[in-house]
Amino acid sequence: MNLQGQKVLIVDDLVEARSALKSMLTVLGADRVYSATNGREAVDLIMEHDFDLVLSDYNLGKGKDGQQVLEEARYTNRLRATATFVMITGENAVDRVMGALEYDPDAYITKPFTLSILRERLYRLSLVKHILKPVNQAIDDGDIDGAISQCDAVMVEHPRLLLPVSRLLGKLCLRQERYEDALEAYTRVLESRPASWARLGQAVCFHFLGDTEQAISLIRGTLMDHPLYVQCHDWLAQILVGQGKSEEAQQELEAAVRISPRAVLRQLELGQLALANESYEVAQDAFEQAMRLARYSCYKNSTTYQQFVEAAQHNLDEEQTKENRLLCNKALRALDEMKQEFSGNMGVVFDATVAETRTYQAVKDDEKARSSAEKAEGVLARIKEPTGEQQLTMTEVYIDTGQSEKAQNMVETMKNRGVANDLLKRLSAIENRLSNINAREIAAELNEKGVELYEKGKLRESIEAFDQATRYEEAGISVLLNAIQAKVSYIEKEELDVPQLKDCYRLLRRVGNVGRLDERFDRYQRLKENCERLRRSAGL
Amino acid sequence: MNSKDLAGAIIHDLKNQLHSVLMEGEKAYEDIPAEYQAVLTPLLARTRRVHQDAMQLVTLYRLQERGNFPADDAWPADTIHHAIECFRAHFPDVVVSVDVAADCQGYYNDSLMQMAFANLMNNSAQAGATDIRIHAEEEGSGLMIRFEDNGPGFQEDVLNGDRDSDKEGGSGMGLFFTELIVHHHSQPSKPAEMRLSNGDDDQGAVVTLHLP
Repeated sequence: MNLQGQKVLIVDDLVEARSALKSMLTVLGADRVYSATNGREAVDLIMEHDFDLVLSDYNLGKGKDGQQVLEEARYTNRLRATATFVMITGENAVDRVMGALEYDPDAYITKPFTLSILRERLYRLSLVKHILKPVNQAIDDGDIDGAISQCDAVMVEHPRLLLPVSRLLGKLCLRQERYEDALEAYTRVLESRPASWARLGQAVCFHFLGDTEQAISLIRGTLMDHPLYVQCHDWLAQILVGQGKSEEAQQELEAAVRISPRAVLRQLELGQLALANESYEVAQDAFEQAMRLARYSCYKNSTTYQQFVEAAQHNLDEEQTKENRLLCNKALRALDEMKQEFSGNMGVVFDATVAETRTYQAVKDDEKARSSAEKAEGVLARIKEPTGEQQLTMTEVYIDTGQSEKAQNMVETMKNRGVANDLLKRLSAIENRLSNINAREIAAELNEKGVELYEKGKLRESIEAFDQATRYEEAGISVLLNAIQAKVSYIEKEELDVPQLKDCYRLLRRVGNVGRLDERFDRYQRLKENCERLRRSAGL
Repeated sequence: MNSKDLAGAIIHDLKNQLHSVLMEGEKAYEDIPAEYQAVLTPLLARTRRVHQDAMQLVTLYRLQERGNFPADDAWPADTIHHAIECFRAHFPDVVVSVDVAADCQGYYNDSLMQMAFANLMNNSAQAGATDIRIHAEEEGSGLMIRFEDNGPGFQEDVLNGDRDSDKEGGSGMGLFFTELIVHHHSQPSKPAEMRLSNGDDDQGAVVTLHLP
């Protein structure tokens, strides 16, 4: 084993561990060793250098752990497939560590280890890596089908590498949606070795080939043997979602998160599922974790902040409790961070400001909601070419903060410029809301006019105004009662007008039942009795 | 947390504390003048032993709790080598000879089997053996590993299945623990086995492991 000339990275938060490992590597010939004291530093170094070997402790104290370092290194393609990643774990802790959705290290080494253990592990690993080099080279070149062919060739020449080659082959075939081939690879392993990963792989193939029941039963069987095999829960959740059993799927993801809470992608999936299931507390927790875990990673995304705030809004109300205040502040802080972190992207700043408006609305702070809506308006004005979606969002915010005139103007501007087909449905919903608001406003105006005429004794004219007002479906109970009142007074004072009396009954039916506790109950009751009296005197 | 989990957590902590004690002890050993090192040696050997027992307790706990000890490709030459390193810390004078091809390959959990191998060697040394021979070879898709020593051999009751040891200095878990680890590697249709016998003329203990 000679590491001379190879670029090696050591990642450990403990200085003694770093120096011990460095001395061991020096004995093994390494002369280009870099060290990182935390995950962030490790990722920075990986972005900067082309390492051949990374040895990372799993537990790196605060911040990213070793798994996150691995995920970023592979996800960004900064660590070549031909390079080796070794995860160092505490004694007997491998099961807690194995938690990646997609990325596995090339090997685990358990602490404490001696120089000879390290030498032998690296030696065995280098032999396998050397034989697999054409496969990994093809992966690095983006030629996945080529890598699959190379795997087949390696398998023929080195049958003793059945396990590592099949594991890689299975993954590659799944990536290329070659499910039959992947199934064959996993089945071949299971003929001689009861490897859990091969059983899970088989299950995944069955799922994609349409045999969902078989897939579920295989995964449940694997979980019986390995209750901490977190990826089984992930796949089970995915399959259950496909079956429309989203609540059961959520339970599986919750189980997965309990075992391995630090995977960003898993927390995001749980958050999205819980949000769809209206499990807002679970969603809020999951997004909060995702936001925290992704803060310094390649998974940092403004959507996560937004989704956290969306979930939190559902858990907020107008009560002045401590919890409510804390949650509201937490949501607002997340939005501030979102604005800061993505300050160069006005679209994101706009989204954050809109979410701020909605947060204030959730706690019924209309004043702050309105002021935040004005800020959103300002941000939108700074976007050179706002999208139709952003304009519609702004329109909704206008409506929600009682600025229907601005909303109406925005709709008209948009319609003049032409609206994309995929936004028409949303636009039409907005127009409906606006026309309801208009109708309510007009009905209210006519009602006011009717009351004024009634008070002046102009009963005929007042009836006309009320008739116009009640033509709107949106006319409320008070308007209907006012109309009845005007008609009753007219019949009593002017003439027994039968159509008007019939109108009174029609309006009473529209009012429906008014509960005893309703403040309008007495008035309703009195008018009803008056109508009855008039009906009897009319001999109807 | 129930009392079982609490016990598990305490054992885990105990093992970590012992590890720290061991590290401190080894550092002190390096730092003190050579003439005093001999005084510290038995203390360190005892500490290693207690630490190893604590490791076994943690493993035992996890085995019973169906913890995940995944098997993978493994090389007996390496595993035996590492087990001997552990063993030498306690019994530096016992001669161990190994007859295993470097590319001999098996399918087992390396950490567990290393523990099992170290246990078998400790058993031999505690019984008075001064020479241990280890041989491993592939058996179809499985593996056979044989430990032979020049000690007094197993007593009749042990050969008949009694695994409780009352040897002085032993933890009383040796063979039982090894057998537990071996059985952990059983597959539904291919059981893993540990067979005990004595050598020719009833001299020397022979332990043969068969892993599928």
